[in-house]
Amino acid sequence: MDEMNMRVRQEKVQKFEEFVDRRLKPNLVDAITLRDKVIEKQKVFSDLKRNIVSLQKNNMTSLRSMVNLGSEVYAQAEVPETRHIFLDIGLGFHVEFTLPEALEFISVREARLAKQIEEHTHLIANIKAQIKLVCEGIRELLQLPPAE
Amino acid sequence: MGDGVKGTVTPLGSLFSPEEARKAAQRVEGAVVQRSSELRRLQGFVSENSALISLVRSLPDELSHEIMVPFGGVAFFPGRLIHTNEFLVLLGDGYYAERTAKQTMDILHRRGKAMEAQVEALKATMLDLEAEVKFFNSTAEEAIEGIVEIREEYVEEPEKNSLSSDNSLHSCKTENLQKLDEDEDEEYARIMARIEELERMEELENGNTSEDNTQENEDTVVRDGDGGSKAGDEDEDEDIEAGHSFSTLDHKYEVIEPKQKLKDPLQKASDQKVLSSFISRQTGNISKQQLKEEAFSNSRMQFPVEAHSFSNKELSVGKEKTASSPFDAQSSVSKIEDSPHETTGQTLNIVSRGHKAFSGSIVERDLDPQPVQSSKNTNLSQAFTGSIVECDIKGESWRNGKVVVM
Repeated sequence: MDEMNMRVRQEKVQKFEEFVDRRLKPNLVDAITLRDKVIEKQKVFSDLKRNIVSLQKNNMTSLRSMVNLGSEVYAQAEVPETRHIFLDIGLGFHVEFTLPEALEFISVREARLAKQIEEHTHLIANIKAQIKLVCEGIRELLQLPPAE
Repeated sequence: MGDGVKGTVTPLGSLFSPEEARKAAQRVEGAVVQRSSELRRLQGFVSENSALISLVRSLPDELSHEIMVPFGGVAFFPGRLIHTNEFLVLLGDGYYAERTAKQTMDILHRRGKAMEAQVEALKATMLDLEAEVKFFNSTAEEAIEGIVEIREEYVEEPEKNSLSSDNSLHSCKTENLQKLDEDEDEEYARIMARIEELERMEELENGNTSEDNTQENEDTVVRDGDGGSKAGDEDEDEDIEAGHSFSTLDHKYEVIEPKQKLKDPLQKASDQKVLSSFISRQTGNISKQQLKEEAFSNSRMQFPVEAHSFSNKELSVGKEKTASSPFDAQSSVSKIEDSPHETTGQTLNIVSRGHKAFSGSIVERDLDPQPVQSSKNTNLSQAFTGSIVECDIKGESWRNGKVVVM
């Protein structure tokens, strides 16, 4: 009787563990990856914003830069006028902005991205909680002392 | 063909289990997939490189080009490309080189060649892996079908056996078995060979003595090449001594009838030494065990030969005896070692001592079939069952030689 119980318990424990390993953990990994991507994008926009602000502050009307032609071969490029900037608004579209408009757009973008990150964070937290729950269940089955 | 050829039959399935073969095939396929993705990546680099070369070639055509200059990852500024002939090339590890368009093209060209070499190497690796996969799969199929692997020992014909087969047989596991089986064949072959030898000797010895023919029977003088003076058998003792005397006297030699078939080819015998060959009538006596070494040498007799000419490697030639007899080349004494594995024994070494023909007579006293036990040290006594006859070797030819064949 006891042994049967033991065996049943072992099977349950094993099932839980499998569930954790096969479903929850990969989900967690995926969610984290997605969130990282969004964070990166947000970073790009914030860098751009910073640059535009510094452009405005220093009144730089012309720029010299190096353009990557591919395989790290650079050519010199000159920007005669920095009044208009083209921004990628998604779906392959680039819109011509003036600098203040660009800044505005960037802020809007940033807000949206932040929201997305928030959602991802929630999802990740959810998955983590599930994993924890299952682990607790396993512990209970094994009658180990509960972890805090 | 010798009887009793042993062989092994192994089902291929036991050596390579089909499941394992399939698993191995899958593993290799995984490696192939990996390599193919790597290959694709490399090919992408190659195409990008060639596109860049064409771009670099075309840029200097204009003073400046209107372009969209990227600013960060998502923003562009309208602008111009200037200094169209100057390019900054990354050499690696944070080092850049400012080059003209032509130089840049050269750099890129060289890079492209290196990459293509890599691609080729990778392709070759992939081919090998694919061949492996095919092999594994076919092995698995064969194992499933139940193909068996049959191994057999290669047994040569006894007649041809003599020297060449000695080694092969030596390594043969079933040597002993085969030897016993083949003894009869060997005997017969030996007899035939001896007869041939005799005939040949006759021709050769025409100038010498007619009796040389007796040598045909030769039994080889068993001799220990190494020590020479170790006479294993008691019979041999006198022979050996006689042999010694021969060497010193140089005109005496002992004819020792081989007692056993065992004869050790007188390998050691130097060129100068001539071993008299004794009649080995003993063919009849050839015991199964020993005969191997027997004087097959009949067939082997070679005239003016070095001691080594025929000898089997295992046979050792006694020096003393050889020295003693200034025999003609015709006389050959081969010693057969009494090693069980010898099939080689048959070689009779004909060592021609020298300058003189065997003018002695060989008389066989009696046949005492005594198995020659000692290996290297077999003496004449072992080899011969007969008697030792001292002959006067003065004559160039073999006179008075008389061979009593038993």
